[in-house]
Amino acid sequence: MLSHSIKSVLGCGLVVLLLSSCGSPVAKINVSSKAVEKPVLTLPPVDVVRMRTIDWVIITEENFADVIAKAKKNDKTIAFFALTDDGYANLGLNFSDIRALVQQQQTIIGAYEQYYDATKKFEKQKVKKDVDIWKFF
Amino acid sequence: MIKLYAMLIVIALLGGAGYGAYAYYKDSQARIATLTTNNAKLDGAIKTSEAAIASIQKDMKKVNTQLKKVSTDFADIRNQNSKLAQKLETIDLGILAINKPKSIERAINGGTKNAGRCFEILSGSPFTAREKEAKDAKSFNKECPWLWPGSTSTQ
Repeated sequence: MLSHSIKSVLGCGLVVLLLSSCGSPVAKINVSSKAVEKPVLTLPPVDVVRMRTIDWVIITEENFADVIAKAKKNDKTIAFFALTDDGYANLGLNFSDIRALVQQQQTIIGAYEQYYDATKKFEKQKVKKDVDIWKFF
Repeated sequence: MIKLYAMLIVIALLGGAGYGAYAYYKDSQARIATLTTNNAKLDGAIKTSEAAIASIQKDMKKVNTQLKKVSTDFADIRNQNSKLAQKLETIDLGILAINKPKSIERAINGGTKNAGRCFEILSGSPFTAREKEAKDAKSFNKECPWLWPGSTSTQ
């Protein structure tokens, strides 16, 4: 009877021992994230403007005949595209407004460049810092 | 026989108690390890949040700096743009043209050439030899003296 009980206990112990070896520890999963930089936007520069020559001719009542004669002498077509003094002033002011617009646009582009270049440098430093912090784990 | 069963029961009880204590110890150790890891992770998360807040604050500062700079530049540009209008208000171009047609013709042709050159410079055209040698903003270009590289004033 005793030998049977001992055999049962030892048998159960052996089964438990064998089953326990089937289990293996679960491997710890390590997840790491890495910031991927956006490709740099490289754009071509604007075309350089080449302004064509414009020759203004002032025609008054006094010099009208002289201007016509000079134009005929130089084989020019006798057709003038005229402006009054106010029209000329307005044309000048319009060009001045366009120049101001170009300058304002350039200022805005410059501001964007400065802001994003500085931010990019700061982000690079920040990412390095974050990676260093998370490397600790 | 009863003695043997009693002994086995006692051994089983003692073994159970021992196993319970061991399991409790193991569980406590595992909890401590998890809490330590969590604590360290939270510490890292706080540091990351603080860094993010610092980054946003720094960016806001940069935004304000750029906004101030652009506003100042725009004010200067508007001021430059108003110069011609101011000049035209003080003179009667028609009367001047009647009295001195040749000199006014020369002046407006020179002005037109200079104004065109301003556009060329703004589009990135390299300076001419005369522009490079300019000693002051006026001799650089009368229509856009503020584009002179040596100019400190934007007027």
